[in-house]
Amino acid sequence: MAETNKSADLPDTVDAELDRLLGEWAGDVLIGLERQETAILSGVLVLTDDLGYGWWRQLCDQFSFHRTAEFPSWPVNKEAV
Amino acid sequence: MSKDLFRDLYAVHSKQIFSYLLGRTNNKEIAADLLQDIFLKVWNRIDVVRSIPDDERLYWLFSIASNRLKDYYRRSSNRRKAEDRLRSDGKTHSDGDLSGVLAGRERFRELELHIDRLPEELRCMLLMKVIGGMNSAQIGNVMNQPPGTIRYKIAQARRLLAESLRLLDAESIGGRRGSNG
Repeated sequence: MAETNKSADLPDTVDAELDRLLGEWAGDVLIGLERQETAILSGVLVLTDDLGYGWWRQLCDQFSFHRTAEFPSWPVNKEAV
Repeated sequence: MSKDLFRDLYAVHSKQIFSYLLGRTNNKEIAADLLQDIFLKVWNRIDVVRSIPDDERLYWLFSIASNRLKDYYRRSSNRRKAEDRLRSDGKTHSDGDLSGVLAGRERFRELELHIDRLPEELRCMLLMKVIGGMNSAQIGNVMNQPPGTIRYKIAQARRLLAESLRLLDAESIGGRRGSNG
């Protein structure tokens, strides 16, 4: 069945007027969204470039999570022990 | 390439998701913020997207959008109530006469007031069609209702809108004028 905007119980002229109003409004809303599009896209990509899985993986790879048997060799005040 | 797939997804589906978010939240800024959140989640699951057939990706996106909305409502229910109160306080009740209405943005504001007053479900369906460019089968899949029901409800939304805009009155006045003249 073909898609139509037409409302069965509305006169043709009212239907057409409603289509015109909604069409112009939708165009205006979408222009507003397009203005934000660059910000949204770049925002997502900047965030993910910094904090995405790859970024965290890279960070974690730099740490060693193995236990170590070595104790730090800082000077110990033996007199205090 | 992940970024290309992501940009394609955004180009094809962002308007549809946005129209749904706008229909549900009634606020362009909140809808745009939620859209960004949703696409951030999409980016984080971009590997999953590859395994989803093209014709099912829209519904996968809507499932993310729906969950994000629930989360948003849960977190901001109190704030939203306050915003609703403020919004309703700030609204001026117009006489709805669009024929003599101011041009440009003022007229859009007027129209938005009337769209805001539609029941949420009807508003959402109408906006998914008008802004998202979705057909009744697609909206039906998202809203879990048969396409025939969607068509009926969109017609209902249009009827309510025409009534509140007094387009029907204008029509009958125009008709009378036409018959008199």
